Amino acid sequence: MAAGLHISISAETLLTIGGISITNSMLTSLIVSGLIIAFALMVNLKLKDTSNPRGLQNFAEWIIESLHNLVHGVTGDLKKTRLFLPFVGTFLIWILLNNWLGLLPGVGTIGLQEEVESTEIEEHASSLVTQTYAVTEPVEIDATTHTEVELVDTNEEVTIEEAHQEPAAESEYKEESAHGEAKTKFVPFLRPGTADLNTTLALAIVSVFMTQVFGVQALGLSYFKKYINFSNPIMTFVGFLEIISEFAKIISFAFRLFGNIFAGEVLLVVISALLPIIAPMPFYGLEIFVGFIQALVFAMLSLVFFNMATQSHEQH
Amino acid sequence: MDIQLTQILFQIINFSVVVGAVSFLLYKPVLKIFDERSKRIAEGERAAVKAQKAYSEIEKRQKIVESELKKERNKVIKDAQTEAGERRDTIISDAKAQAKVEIAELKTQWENEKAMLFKKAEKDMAESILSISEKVIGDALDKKAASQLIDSELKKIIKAL
Repeated sequence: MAAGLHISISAETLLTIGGISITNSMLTSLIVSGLIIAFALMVNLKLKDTSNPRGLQNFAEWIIESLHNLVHGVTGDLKKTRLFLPFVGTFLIWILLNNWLGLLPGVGTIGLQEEVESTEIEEHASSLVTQTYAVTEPVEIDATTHTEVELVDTNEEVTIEEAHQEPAAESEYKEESAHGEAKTKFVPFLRPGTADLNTTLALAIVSVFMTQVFGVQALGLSYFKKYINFSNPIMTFVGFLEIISEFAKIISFAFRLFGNIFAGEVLLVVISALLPIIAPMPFYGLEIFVGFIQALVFAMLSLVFFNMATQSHEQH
Repeated sequence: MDIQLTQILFQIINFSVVVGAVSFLLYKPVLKIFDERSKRIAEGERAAVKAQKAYSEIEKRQKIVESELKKERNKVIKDAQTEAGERRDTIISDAKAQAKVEIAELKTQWENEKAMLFKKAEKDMAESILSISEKVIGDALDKKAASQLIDSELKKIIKAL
């Protein structure tokens, strides 16, 4: 194992281009996007208007028909179905592939040992201690006097390391030499896109933004009556609550997906560290299921919000 | 857990590009194919309904024609039977008449032949009796006595027959 037990709540920067950090989750998302676009392109090139589709076209038609039926089951209106399908379908497929890509061998385990600043070590060590492990005694961190040595020592009291008999911090930070030498940090090349809060926030923003777009498209400016309504004090208050609920939607969307996928990643890493041979297998099965369910939940909730936005207040 | 606006923007753009590309390359063409296929299926269904209608009409017509044919067939059979019966009667009566004629002819012929045979037998018998008598009696009979003898002998023979 290149890096042993590697757990990081935020995505790691692989490189910086023009002041913009390219993280491993961005790379994974780009790979997923590329795969989806490549698939779409291949299907498009092989597409024939036939009554007996075969191979790739048959597979693509099966996916799109299933998604179409799923969306149509909620909207009950062909026009709305055609309007929502690209977003709902892409949400489902994009999130699903991102979730499942994290389960592939090599994702999160193949990477680089990067030299890190001591302040970074301090931050990371603190996050490790506070977020992941149950430490029985306070960990002393002093970056100037080689913190990782302290971490290795203190981690003898970390329960997870007792079982694995390998210091946790050692996997993250290694002491290259005895004192005052370069320190390294493991940076995996790939990390599931949905295990990064920035990605899930982006998806949530797209979903909520498109809800407003579809609402205005269907109802015109009267859609905003939902938020701004001074007809009576109750409606004014309800409008205010509706505005808050839109922001709450973003937060709930983002944290639900991120929390589930990141928790799954952590679970797999921990189980693999404790019992590496057969024990992770059922958890992999569970994560495949969770990955699908979370993608479906995100897509279905978006679909329901899209549909609700296109209905007038009286229809509610 | 660092939230970075640039990363969020990047992911929004990334996802939007995917939605646009997939919508253009996959959803629209495939849905178009679905629509055309549905149209074809609807047309096929309409044609099937039409064909079904035509078929049921043909079936109805066929039944009418069949019943007409049945009637005609029965009539033809009946006529044929009647005609055959008449013909049979005629043939039988003709045959009977012809048979009668032929029987009568045969009877006549038989009678003639019988008479001829009797005459011949009578003659042969007379001659043989005559010769026998000549040999037995030793004297020649005159013609009158000979014919009386022949007649009496013939009567005896005929009686015996």
